Amino acid sequence: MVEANILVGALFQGFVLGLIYALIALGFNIIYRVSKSINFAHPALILLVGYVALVVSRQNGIAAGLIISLAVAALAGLVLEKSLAKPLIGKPPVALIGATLGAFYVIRGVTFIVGRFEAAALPLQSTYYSLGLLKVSTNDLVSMAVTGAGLLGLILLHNKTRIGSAIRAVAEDAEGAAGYGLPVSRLMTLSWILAGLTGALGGLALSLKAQVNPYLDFYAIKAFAASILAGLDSIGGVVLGGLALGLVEQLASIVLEPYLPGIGGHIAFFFLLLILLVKPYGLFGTERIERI
Amino acid sequence: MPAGVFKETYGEEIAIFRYPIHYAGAALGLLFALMLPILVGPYYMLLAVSFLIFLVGTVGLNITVGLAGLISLAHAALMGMGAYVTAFLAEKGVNILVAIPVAGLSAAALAFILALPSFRLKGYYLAMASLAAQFIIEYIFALIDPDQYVPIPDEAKYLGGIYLGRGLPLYYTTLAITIVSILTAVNLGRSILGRAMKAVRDNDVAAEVVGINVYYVKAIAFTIGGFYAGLAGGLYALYSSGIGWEGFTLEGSIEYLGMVLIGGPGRIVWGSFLGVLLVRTGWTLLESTLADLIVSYVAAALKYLILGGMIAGFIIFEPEGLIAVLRRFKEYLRLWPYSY
Amino acid sequence: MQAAALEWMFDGVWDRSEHYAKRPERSERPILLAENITVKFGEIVAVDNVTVNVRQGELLAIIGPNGAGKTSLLNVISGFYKPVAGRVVFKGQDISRMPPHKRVELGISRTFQHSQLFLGMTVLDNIIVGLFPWRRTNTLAAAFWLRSARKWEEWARESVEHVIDLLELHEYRYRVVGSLSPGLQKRVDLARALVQNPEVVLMDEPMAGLTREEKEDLARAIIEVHETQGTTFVMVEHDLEVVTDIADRIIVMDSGRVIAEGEPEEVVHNPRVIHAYVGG
Ligand SMILES: Nc1ncnc2c1ncn2[C@@H]1O[C@H](COP(=O)(O)OP(=O)(O)O)[C@@H](O)[C@H]1O
Ligand SMILES: [Mg+2]
Repeated sequence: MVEANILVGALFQGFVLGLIYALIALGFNIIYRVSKSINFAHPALILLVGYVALVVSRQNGIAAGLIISLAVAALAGLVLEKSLAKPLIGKPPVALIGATLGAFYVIRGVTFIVGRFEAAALPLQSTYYSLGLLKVSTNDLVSMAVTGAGLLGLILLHNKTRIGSAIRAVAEDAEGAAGYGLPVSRLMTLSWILAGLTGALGGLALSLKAQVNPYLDFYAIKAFAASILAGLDSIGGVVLGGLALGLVEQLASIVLEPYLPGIGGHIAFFFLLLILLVKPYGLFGTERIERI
Repeated sequence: MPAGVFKETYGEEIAIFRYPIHYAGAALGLLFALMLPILVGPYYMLLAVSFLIFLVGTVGLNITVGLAGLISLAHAALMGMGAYVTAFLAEKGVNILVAIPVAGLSAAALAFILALPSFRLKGYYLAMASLAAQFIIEYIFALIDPDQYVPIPDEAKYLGGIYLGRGLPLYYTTLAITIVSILTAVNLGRSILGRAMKAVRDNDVAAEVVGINVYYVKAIAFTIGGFYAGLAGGLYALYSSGIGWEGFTLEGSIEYLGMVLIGGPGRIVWGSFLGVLLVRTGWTLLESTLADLIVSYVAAALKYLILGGMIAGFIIFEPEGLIAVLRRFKEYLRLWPYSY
Repeated sequence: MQAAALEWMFDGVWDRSEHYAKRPERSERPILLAENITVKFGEIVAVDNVTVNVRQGELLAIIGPNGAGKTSLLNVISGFYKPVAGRVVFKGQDISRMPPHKRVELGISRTFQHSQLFLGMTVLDNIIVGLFPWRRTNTLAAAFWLRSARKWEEWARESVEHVIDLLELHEYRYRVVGSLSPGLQKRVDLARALVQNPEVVLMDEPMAGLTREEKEDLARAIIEVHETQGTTFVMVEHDLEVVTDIADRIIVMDSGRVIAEGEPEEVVHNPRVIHAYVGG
């Protein structure tokens, strides 16, 4: 039998990581909605943010690190949209997949030149508190606050504001939205910038939790599973998708680890295939019915 | 089209060699391939063997990606599957020339099973499913081969007393398998199945409504790609004294994809040829030059930058790949000096 | 031995006359029945409890204003849209749950309102893939280009040449369809359907965007196939002139419902139809 404190700790970690997965998954979904394709550059953005934060905060303090990494991510979103998504409008979705995969490598290359493949924690003092069975670090709390705020802000922006409803209209039917006089092109750019910012917040939270290291993008790739579980076109659903993924991972590492070493880190991919098999459009997604 | 060559049957129109120049080109190419070991030293001959191995793999991926328009991110893992199956069979005393085709079949089966859930869905779901497949297979490799080294026993590499794992026999064995692979791939490409793949690539929605079993075509395109990957893996096991999985990771898959997209997607032979030459062999040569010039971490990062930049650049500016650039250049030369 | 086995595989397929067998004469017998079909997209009811009965060998036209649900109805018949209610019966067989490609194999082919050709392929290849359901080679035979693959290829090319003759596409055989004019693309689209030697052809606005001359050519080709092979046509069309000229019967749809049905003459004078066309 698993000890209670291990279980509680694992559930808590699953919760914290799950929120991060949700935020990163949100970035995939924002892009899918407007560009109807998957942004494979997103994971590299997470990596870039981590290293920019690390390098800048070493020299100019943590605040500068955070601000500059957010700005870099927003800029990266903008550049990706202008250089890849826009020229490929009207091409089959696989073209954008291929192009963003290329961008994935380019961003990785830049990141590794900046960051030299090192692994280090962000310069932020972390202390541990004990709450009954649970041990909590300030880093966990900060990353929960960052992801919670990010998720809440973006979901509210999307569901409650005029910009949000304009983006929704573009996502549903770009041509129709253009017919209503919405600035479709600018809304798409905005979406890519928002996705960049989402990734940045997720990347920062992740860097707090797991240190800055050359494998940060791996977490972001796993967040695909959260995205698919929610449904690629779902926004609010990612919270559930992310939390489910976080918890599944923790439980798998407790229960299956003795038989399958390292399964915790890879269960996400089994999970992903399983979802594709039983509920391919996710819990909250809808199948898009093409016209011919 | 050269004047004076007329087709009498429909079959001749889609023959692989249609004009005298095709025969001449093929004969010259074959002659060159056969003489290569004499023309270059042992180092470059080994480089050529590695080139051929990856050519087989890339030809397969070019069917999946270039003909059927499906992005696969599991190609290196499937190649690894082929390599491990060959290693396993060789260990059991099976001759490598038997093990290699079996490796192809097992990789094909694995490809099919892992991607099965996504064939009914849009193409980008296959990209996701194959990515998941890549990591799952990598994970399994790490479980069964924690030391990253499985030896391939030499005893399995003999054919009638000749050791195939080294020197000229290695080169000619690889060359023969490569030629058969290329010819079969070309035949598949010009068959009705290949045309149906192109139809699925160009318009999968309409393809189903005009009578193409899109689910089947996607599944078979992916499975065939897996077969060639497995074959390449088997050849890799022939070429190496032992295998580890570090060569079969996601980076390998992305490199494969890069070779197809950069060389010329849909141009099964020449597109793949150029892709492997530029990306794989080109990088190997460049790397050894760079090693003396710059620090190693920059060189590693540079590979990401160059490969990624070329993939994105070709998709945006020349989706038909390097082969299209060469064709334009050839036209330019042909018309020179009146080329405006 | 092997050759014999291969011959056996192809038995019958070589015989073009069978593939182009003349159909039974026109009759009142329904060949295709779409019964109580309802299609919804969220709140929108695109097709509202529509029943269409297509008779063997007739040329049926479906007309109606934009958004009436004509395309949706065709999509249900070809299996592309799943209706929330209703069933489709072809020659007495309920095909409601059959995937689209199977319905083509059974004998229901179609053309499209907006070009759905394979733009990166040549005219020839666009037409030849229409024969995919009748391919008689397996992957291995194709890979080694065995006799079966070669024979099939010859047979397929002959079938394709037949429709190329019919639709006068000779000079465009090797052109990539993406580079052709919309009028020509419509012809290739029809050729891809006709090469399948269908019993029923569903056509979605085949005349849209054509010049007068092109329309006449196309109408002539349709009538030729209709009369020489007894093929049944279901044609969604806006051009009332063409429709009254060549259709045996007309169904009028508006807002997802059938509002009139009958001979061309009576239908075009029906006040509800005039209202739907002028007022809608
Ligand atoms: N794939 C689809 N998704 C959403 N709405 C659709 C789709 N296809 C058709 N519709 C809607 O159904 C209605 C009927 O469309 P359609 O069948 O194309 O009409 P028609 O062909 O008569 O012009 C229209 O309101 C249209 O917007
Ligand atoms: Mg319509």
